[in-house]
Amino acid sequence: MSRTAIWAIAVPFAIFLAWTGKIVYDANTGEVVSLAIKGFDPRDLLSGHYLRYRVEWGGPSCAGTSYGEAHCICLGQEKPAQSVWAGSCEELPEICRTYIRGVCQAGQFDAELERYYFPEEWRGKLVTVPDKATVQVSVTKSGRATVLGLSVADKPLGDWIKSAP
Amino acid sequence: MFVNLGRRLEAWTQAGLISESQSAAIAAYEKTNARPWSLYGLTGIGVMTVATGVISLIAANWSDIPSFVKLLGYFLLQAALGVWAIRQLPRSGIWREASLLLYALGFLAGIGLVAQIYHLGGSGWRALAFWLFLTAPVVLRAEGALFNHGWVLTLLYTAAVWSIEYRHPGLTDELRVSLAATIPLTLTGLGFFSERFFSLPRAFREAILTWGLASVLIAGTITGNVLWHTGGHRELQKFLNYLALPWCALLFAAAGSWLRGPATPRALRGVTAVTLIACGVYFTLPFFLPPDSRGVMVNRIIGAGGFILIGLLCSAAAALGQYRRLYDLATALVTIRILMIYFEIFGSMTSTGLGLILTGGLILGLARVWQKYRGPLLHWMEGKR
Repeated sequence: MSRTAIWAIAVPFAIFLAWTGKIVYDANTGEVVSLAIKGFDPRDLLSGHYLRYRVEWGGPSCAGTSYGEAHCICLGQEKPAQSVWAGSCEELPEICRTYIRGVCQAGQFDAELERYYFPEEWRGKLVTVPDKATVQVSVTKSGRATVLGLSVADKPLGDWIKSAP
Repeated sequence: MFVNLGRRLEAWTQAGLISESQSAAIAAYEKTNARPWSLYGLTGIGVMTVATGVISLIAANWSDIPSFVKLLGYFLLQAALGVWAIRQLPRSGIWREASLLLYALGFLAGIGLVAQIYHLGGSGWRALAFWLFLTAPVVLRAEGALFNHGWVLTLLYTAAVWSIEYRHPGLTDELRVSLAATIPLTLTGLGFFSERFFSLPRAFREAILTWGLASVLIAGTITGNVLWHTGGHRELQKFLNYLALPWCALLFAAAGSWLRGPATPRALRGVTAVTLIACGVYFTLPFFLPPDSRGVMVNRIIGAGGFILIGLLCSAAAALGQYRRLYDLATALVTIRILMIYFEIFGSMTSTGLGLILTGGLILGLARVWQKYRGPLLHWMEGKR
């Protein structure tokens, strides 16, 4: 068997392992920030058990930008965090400590944070996004954000589900 | 043993296809080499039951399993599939193909698992594009049709979805569609050129040629026909620039067809190249229709005629290449298009009794013509080959 044949099998595995490792690293090393969210319709009915929502940035997000343009949002220190500045990532103010990188699409800032998968047995209680829901994200220094968890009224989603009627 | 082998052997013997002694030899061979299907069946049921139990156990406790354990379990399983695939590579047969396919599908499952654990958003085409990238070296090792055809179809589907969903200020909607249309044409060219100038695995070459040509001929002619039918708007001409890139790829594919290896008959190379060029011309001409000629009957008739001409060229190429299924498909499409012309012209009559009689008569007539001339035409084409 040729070496190239072994490489053909091994290299994809190594690339996938590295990709997964990067996501795990980003999720575990970034600064944890809470963001307020609200439900978003239409729900994706064909794609399993997850909630779709929009982040409520509470400040400037995507006004006056082109479709698909790279964009950054600088977050304040409140909880849940709110946008204090938004614009091209190249013009990001130096004093900004925590920012999220994404794109603007149809006036909405998209950082690929708008989906939360949950266990199947919760589907009866999670038909829509509950009120006072926040999403916890890990934000790296380069602005990449990864969803870590979802809370309702400061309770982790699992605890809220247990106490929900 | 085959079902009803005894009855079949008797029929074949009576038809003079095999002798009595050959019939007896086949029956004896099948008897001694018969596989223990009942044992295989029981073993299969046992394995499936254990596997179902394991899956149920994991699924029931899925939310309680820590993410780290899920990922570790996945990577161990994927590594085992990889080792199995490496061990199977020097061999050939169903286990080799199964190991490569399972290994590739394992990456798709892995992407889904990571997306679920870390709640990754984003469009589905990104996941598919990443999977295509990861599995490209694997598919080039596969010899089976299922994996190769599935991979190429996924590529074309991903390109189509990308052209619709991707948003970037530097890529207009029209440019994205133009780029996506270039992909099947380029695949077709690569498939043809690889027969002579460089090497691609046979199964992969067949897959890219099959789906490249199918996309060009089916999507190209149907869209072209719609343009002929509704063309002549003022806005259409401003999109003409976006045809430049697909045309370059089309010429690449046509040149590839003409320069195919000497094993391909010259007539087949010529007809394929002419069909591709004709398809491009047919698609492009509506962009030059005079403005305000929208819905003009002459345009519709030319559109229908062009569709039928390309269909007949396809039939000729299929007959020359002895692709009987493609030949049947192309001639069936031509027949359907002829029927559609009838409906376009006499559509209002079909609700009357006389209209129904005429329509039924036309369908029967077309079926009769097809049945009568299909065989002789194929023989004639094979003679030309």
